[in-house]
Formats: sequence, structure tokens, C-alpha cells
Amino acid sequence: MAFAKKLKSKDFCYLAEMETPKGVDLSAFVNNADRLKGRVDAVLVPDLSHAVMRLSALAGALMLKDLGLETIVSFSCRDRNRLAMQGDLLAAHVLGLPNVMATEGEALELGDQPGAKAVQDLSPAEFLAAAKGLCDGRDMGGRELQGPPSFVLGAAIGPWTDAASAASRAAEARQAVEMGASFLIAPPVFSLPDFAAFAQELGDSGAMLMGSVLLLKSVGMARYLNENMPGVNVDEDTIRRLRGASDRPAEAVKIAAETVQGLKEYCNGALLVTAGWEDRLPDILELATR
Amino acid sequence: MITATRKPMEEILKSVEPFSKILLLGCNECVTVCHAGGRKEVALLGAALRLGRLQKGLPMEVEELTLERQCDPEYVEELSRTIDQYDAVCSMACGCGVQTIAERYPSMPVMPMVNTAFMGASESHGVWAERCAGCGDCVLGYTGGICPVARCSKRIFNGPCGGSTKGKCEISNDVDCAWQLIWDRLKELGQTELYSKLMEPKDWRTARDGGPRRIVREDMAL
Repeated sequence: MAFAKKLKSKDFCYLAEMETPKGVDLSAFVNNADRLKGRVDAVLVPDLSHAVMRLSALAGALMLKDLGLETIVSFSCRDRNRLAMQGDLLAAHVLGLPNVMATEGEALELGDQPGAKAVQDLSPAEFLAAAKGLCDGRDMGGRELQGPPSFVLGAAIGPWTDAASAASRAAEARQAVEMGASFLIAPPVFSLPDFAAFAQELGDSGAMLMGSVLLLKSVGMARYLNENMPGVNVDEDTIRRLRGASDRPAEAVKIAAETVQGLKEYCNGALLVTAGWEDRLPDILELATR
Repeated sequence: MITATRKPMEEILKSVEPFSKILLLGCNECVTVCHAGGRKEVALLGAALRLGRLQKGLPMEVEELTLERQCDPEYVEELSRTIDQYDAVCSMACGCGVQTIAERYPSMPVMPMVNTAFMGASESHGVWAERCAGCGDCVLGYTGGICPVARCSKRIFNGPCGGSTKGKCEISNDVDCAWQLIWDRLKELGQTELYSKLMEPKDWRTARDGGPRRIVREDMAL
């Protein structure tokens, strides 16, 4: 698969995140996906992110594959026990979706069905071990598989708020690489110097480090992130720039593209997260790759 | 009550390896009732620990004490004058007691000597069984006083499942099907209409799924 080759080439990777729809009308999803063809190395499909019920990541990724896009399928540890996790990993392989990673999953309290029961049987690190075990031909119960799958494994890096927590996150990331991760996805970058310090702390982990670039859709969103998202600090200059722009969405796109360009100096790729504005992805990519 | 069972001796001896003087601390509440960590069990484990360490050629000083309640800061406070003389506290209380000690004495290692099991009741002498899962939204009034969360293996709310056979659960013939028990009791009470009513999917926020729980009674604040 092209993404696996790209990881080995060490060339800068362009990834985009695409949420599946809440429902079965795929028209917007397909339109946005069509516009990404040939522009990204892979599309990351989150798994019920923010604990909001929507079309499953596996189904979304299969749709994208049929449209000619390579995908990274995310698995939420919140919603599956080890049986379901391993079963869906096997499913990912047979569906031709080998690029997989896990997230802990946001708290159900933050989602749209807060009364649901969380599973959290495996952690993302245990997910990596399970996936690697499957590739080696055995399930978590130690039983031999009738044909082992193969995966390109990734891991998400949690947010950091200071040098000490950045060191812990870097240690976790190195552990993920030891467990088989060949790409690492860092949280949204709003300060390049802070990200550069993290990349330095991480050093050459042996995996491709990707910085996330979250599109700042509004001043309100920037303020909200500053107040509620650990490790996020959108500086006042950026907020002023967004507020003063005559075309704020266009300015947001420019800011995101500049961050992608800035990341090229410090890591191996960028994951574009547009949080509902997937129609803006081509514009960001256009500016970022100029 | 909260039930517990003592950890295996091998595990206990390994956990106290680094220490030469410990306080073996019992609790006079639930673990006394279920014979896991009261005064009597403290004395038994104390003797076993001294002997075990002697056999290894590494004698260990073991002082024994049983507090009225280890999960209550008021009783835990009484250790403040003497705790510094020990290398570690080996607690025979449930996990609540262990953590209360750890919180009050942050620089003192606290080792658990028992495995906390469940909230249960005594079925017969020497037998305790799970009765409550602390889900935070009690349905016993609708289920004939038998809890589907604690006593049904699948924790289902509209049972029984297809694995119920002759009143027993599919996981073992030794386990009663909670929904058979519920049905039998509702019949006894003349309340079978409650069984016919489909129960809504449970809101698990009141259980552990909503994160660690606290009860705040402002009317009791000092």
C-alpha cells in the first residue's frame, strides 16, 4: 500500500481526517472525499469521536477505499472489548484497510449518549500488542489463527501541558513504537516552538511523527479550545488575526496551511482536522503544498 | 458489606521484601465480619509473616494494630504519632482503607494484604455472595428485590437470556439465573406485571461509567 511505502520513504505525509456522517446519507462525505483524491496520502477515519454516535469508522473507511483513497482506521477502546477489537481488526485486514490505530476514546459524558456503558477493556498500548499478536498468528487467548493478518500500526500521542508531561508523552510514544507503531499522531499544534521542543524530546523514535493541524473555524472556537483542551494555547496574535480578517474562513485556512508548512521542519507529516469543514481541506492542501 | 479475601502468602511475602519493620493494620468493620482482615486475621498473618521472614533468614519486625475503621480519617489519624517508626503499613482493610491511609500519610508505603472482592451478603456460615454492584440507581423495587446488575452474569435488564436453563446460568450450574429468581419472586409477590414491562436501557452514568463518584451532603458539612 502506498501509505506504508510513504512511511518508509520519510517524505512529508499529508493526512486528512474525515468524520463519517450521523446517518446514511453519504453525499457530502463522498463529495468531500472525491476532492481529496491525489492530494493526501491517507484519510484518517475517527471512530465515534467525541463519543457521538455516527456511521462506524470501518464502514466509512471502506467507502473511502472504494473511492480510491487510502485510509487509517481508528479504533476506540471505549466501545469494544478485546473480542470485538480483535474481530474488527481481522475485519479491517480482509476489507483491505491495513492502516490502523487506537484511541482511548473521549468520555461518554462529553458525547450525545452519555448514559452508555464504557468498555475500556484494552488500552491503546494493549491494542498494539493485540494487533501485533494477530500478525504473528495468535489471538490474545493464545490461540492460533487460521491465516494471520498484517497491519501498518499507528498510535496517538496525548496532549502535554509542560516539559514534564511532554517527556512522559514522548516516553509513551517511544513505547508505542517498540510495540509496533510505525506512525505517531501528535495532538493539534498551535505553537511551532512548543511542538519543536516535543519533537526534540522524542528524538528519532523510528516512527513517522505527524503533527495535527486543527482548523480554527472561529474566534469562539479558539477561545473554547484555550479554556477546555489540555495543552492548547492559541496565542492572542492568531486570535486577533482571525477576528480582524474580512474573510474569516479563508484566514482560518491560511493559518492552518502556514502551520502545515511550519511543521515540515520538525516532523514527517501533518494530519489536517477540519471538524465539519471538510470542504475546506483542498484549499488548505493547496496553500500548504505551494 | 464489602467482602475481601487474604492475598496468597507468596505474594504477601514478596510485597514486604524491602521492609524490615512494618505495621500490620486491620480494620474492625466489613473485613472483620467476612474474616479477612480483622483483629484475628491480623494476628494470624502477623505470625505467618514473622515465621516466613525468619525462614528466609531475614527477620522482620511486625507490629499489629486494628483500627475501628480504616476508611474514616478520624480513626486513621491515631496513627500520626507512631507511623514514622515503620518502613511500611501493611493494610488488611479493603481498598477504601488502604487508600485512606495512603492519602493521609503520603510518604509511607502502604501495601494491600487482601483482595477486595465485592459488596455482598452472607448466605451461610463461611459463604458470602455478591448482592450489589453499586450502580447508583437501584431497581430492586421493580425486580422483586433481586439485582440484575449484581446477580445476572450479563447484567441484562430484560432477562432471562437464552443461556438460562432450569433456573441456572449458562456460565455454571452453581450459579442461579438472576432472572429466574426475579420471576419466581415477582410471582410470589403477585407482581408479574412488572416483568412484562420492558425496562429502558440503563443510564450508566450513576455507575462507575460516569467516572469516579462522590456523595456530597452539604447539610452535614461542619
